[in-house]
Amino acid sequence: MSIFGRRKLFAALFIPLTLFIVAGVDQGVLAQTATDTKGECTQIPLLYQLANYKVENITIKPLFKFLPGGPQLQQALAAAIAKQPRNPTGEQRFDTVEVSRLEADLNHELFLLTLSGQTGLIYGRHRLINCDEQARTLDIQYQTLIIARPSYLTTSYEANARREKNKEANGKIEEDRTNLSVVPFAGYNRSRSIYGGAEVTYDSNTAMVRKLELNTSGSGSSAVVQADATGSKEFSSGPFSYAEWKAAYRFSNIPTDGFELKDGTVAARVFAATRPIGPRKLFFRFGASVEGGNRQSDVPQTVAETATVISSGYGALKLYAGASLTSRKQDWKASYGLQLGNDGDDFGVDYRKHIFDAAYRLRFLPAPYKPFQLDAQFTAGSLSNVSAIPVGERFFGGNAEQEFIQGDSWRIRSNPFIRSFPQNRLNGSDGAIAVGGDRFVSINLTVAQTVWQKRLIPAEIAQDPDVNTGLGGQLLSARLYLREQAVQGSLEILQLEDQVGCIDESSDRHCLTPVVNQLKSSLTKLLSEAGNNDDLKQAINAFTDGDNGDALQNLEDAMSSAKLDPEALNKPLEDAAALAAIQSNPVEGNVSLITTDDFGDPDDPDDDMVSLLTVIQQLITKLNEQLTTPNFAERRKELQQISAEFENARGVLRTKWNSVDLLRAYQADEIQKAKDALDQPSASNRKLDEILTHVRTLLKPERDRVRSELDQLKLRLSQLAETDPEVILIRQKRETLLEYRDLLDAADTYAEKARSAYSSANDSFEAKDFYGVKIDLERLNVGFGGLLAYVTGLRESIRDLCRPLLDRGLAAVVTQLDADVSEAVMIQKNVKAAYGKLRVPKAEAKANETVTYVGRVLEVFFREANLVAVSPVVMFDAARLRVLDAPDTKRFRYGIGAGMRFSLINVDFTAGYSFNPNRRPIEPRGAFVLRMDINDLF
Amino acid sequence: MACKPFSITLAVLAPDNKRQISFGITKGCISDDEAFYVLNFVLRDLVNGEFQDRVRLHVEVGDTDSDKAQRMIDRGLTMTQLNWLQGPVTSKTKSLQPGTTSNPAAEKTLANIVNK
Repeated sequence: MSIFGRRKLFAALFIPLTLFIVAGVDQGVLAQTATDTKGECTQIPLLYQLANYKVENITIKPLFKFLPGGPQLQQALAAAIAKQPRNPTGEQRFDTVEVSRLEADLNHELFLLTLSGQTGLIYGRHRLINCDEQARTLDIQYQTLIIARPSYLTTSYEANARREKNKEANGKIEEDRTNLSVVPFAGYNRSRSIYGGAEVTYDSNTAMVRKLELNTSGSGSSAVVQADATGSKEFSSGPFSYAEWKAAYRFSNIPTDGFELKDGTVAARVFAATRPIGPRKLFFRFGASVEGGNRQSDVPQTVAETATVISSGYGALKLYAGASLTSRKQDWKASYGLQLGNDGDDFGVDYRKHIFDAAYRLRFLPAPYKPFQLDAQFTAGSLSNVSAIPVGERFFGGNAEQEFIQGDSWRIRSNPFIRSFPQNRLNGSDGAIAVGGDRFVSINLTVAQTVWQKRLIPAEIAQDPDVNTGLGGQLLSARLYLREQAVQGSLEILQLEDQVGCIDESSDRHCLTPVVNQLKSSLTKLLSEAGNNDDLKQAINAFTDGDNGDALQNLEDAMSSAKLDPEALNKPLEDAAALAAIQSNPVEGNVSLITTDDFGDPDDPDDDMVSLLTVIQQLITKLNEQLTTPNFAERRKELQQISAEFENARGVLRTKWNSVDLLRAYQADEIQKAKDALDQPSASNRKLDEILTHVRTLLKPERDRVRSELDQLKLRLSQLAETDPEVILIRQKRETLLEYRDLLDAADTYAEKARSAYSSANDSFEAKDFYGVKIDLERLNVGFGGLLAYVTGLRESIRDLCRPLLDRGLAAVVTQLDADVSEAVMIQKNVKAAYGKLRVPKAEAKANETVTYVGRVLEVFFREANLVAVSPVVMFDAARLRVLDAPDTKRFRYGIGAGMRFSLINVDFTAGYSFNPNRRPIEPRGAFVLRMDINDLF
Repeated sequence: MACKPFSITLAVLAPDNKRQISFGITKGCISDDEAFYVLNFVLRDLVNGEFQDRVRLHVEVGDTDSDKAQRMIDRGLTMTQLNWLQGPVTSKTKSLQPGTTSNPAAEKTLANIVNK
């Protein structure tokens, strides 16, 4: 009945939170120890600061009580406290700013301790506790939630099959790795009955043999032993991303209908995966396994096919290849395996086994946090014999999956899988002993829809406007940095750098250096020919000592400085100026100085910005004015040629600079269309900013009213004794009002931010800052992965507000808000359509390879991941197993079932029953389905 | 909006497993309706099997009534905003590499480049 495989059962028992895990301590006792509760801290924090309260204890605890413990919290808090400036008096006076500065440092320390090399999220907050009015002391309690995905050591490939991830998810792999682990397990399977065993793993941490594993299990009727020695390597360059090699031994004795199947196998395997290709992460994988051993059974030879060998030796060469594709909502994989086998007597091929296995997964969110998931798998196999086939190599179907390469991280199913039949019991031939088939096909469908869940990230975080906008802003910073990194690594900027520094004298390259040298030579000659002509001498000297200083030297300095620093992107940037320096690379900066004139405001001569080349050209013009006599005709002609060459050099530099700029430039006409969509009036002939202003106007009276009510409640509370029964009621009412106020404030904040972004888009457009327009449209209407666009945030916060507004009898306000939001959403839809047509510049597209993934991670954390979820499951299987070429085995057998899936973050436990609808006399009605799967939500 | 302090840090390991980006945002409350922010941005690359910091930026923004401050939080750290953080005296030439010619007028062009 069970389809708990060895790996699955192990995982079910010992990896309760594999993908994510939360570090914490059950009791928040840290750097300093909290004492008994002294009193509630009912005032706003600022009042405690003004009243000169001192901090007695600083503690830390996990956000949720049930989370497991970990030492990192203490270490992080201690490190963060050590970073804070010491008060000379030794007293720790409470300060609203310092408490958050410490929290920022605490988060950073937690990041370093727990999320290094990983994907994860840390949420922190603090509260004041134990306020002692007499002693004027209080405690600060930090509460933290850490969610981590396994490290790069495990996420690179087939993470689900790796064993360390429960430790790695906790951020402890480096510091807490124990070389030896022993994990007992137990399970039930109708073929094996109740069985138990243990898995022993030894991590040698050497490249050649990274891990030794021994897995044994047994029952009254079965035994399985598996031993592996595995080495692996991840490659940072070249066509392969990962390679694995393994020496394996496996013994199995599992009964089937009426007889026992025993096999013993020794194998040497190698497996490799290419680097992912394209945005859908196309992997190609292939491997080989050389195997030897024996295959035994106690089936009478009389019932087996002539070509079947009931007990024999075993030898095989297995070759397999496959590919997988992953997109945001869908995953595909397909594999083909070929086995050339014999009965161990010689090196000839006695039989061939072909396996084709393809799987598809669709996962999307019909509603936030309520994923729909469809899993489909198609498997087919055939055996063709040249001479003898060991019976154990034939196909036996049922509700346990068998893998083509046992223990490999690339899983290829190699048997007919049907959940309404117990393991190895898809006999297919009425009343006959199951001697295994030689051809099969199976199709499996599983559909699940989450109907109840509790989200992982609370709404107060996921929908908070400050969280959304703050993270969105940082994402934009990251994109800008990565974009500039792409620019600085581009061929275009190398060509520009080469051009500005080139010394080639050939006329078609138009290098600056030869022209400058030519000018200097001409000036030297002219100076020697100037005689007593002081005006001419002044015009010559103006090149090196004029109003603009040493213009020639300035030009040469700019030329020699226009070089990328190869180490610039390798040095840690620790302040804003350093980051700014990366963004303003010296090649473009100096080319701009050399070539670009901007005369600014025509009415303001001081606003003129003149390029270094223009300064030189002006000096040449002035010099020419002094060369009026015939004896300087040749020099004048020479200077005119030099001037023309400077302009040619300027032209080439600007062309190449333009090529660099195109790496990050948006097209004006496309931006114009997107901005036009933003400015399009709604059905009520209002522009978006007018709608948003109206929303804020609608909310304002209610926001003022709530504030007033809160003040009144506060006043009333201050007038009552703590023991007064009314106090509890007032506090409850206050809590409700505070929640309501937060909803009102969130809606107002989104409206205000949206209005500000609208205005910014227009300002940016006027300033021809097209990238600025693009990011304003993005944050206003599109959002970043799981971060809400401002208009979307407004829609969601207004939706949450409707119920409390109706409860307060404000149906008319709700109607108006609904109308406003509908119109804003309609404009948003149009802008999104236009935004979708923007061609993303090359450097930004490169940056987006990382940034889009960050958005995806945010989406998982903020819109998809559940702490717990319950989903009904429907299962359908169809399988056909041809046995002895009997006619009745050529028909499909079916399994139709239903069950329930319980999900703990990304670990799915499914329990159900699959019926056998066309049951035959000796067959069971069906079989129980128990299964555990691990989802990679990213 | 009433001020509610919190902090959130998101760490993301890029799909190629060679780069990690971390965004930290802490909102603190000076008073019930006056906020300040601490932003931490860390970008790390995998070098010889270890993650090394490439960018380590810690910025505190106090006066969020200021349009500039809010704009920086919402739109990210552009160069103009970074310079603003260092105060009005900061010259854009400060962000040029050593040896770059100083030309006050040219700073305007430079600002145009990096703000694209």
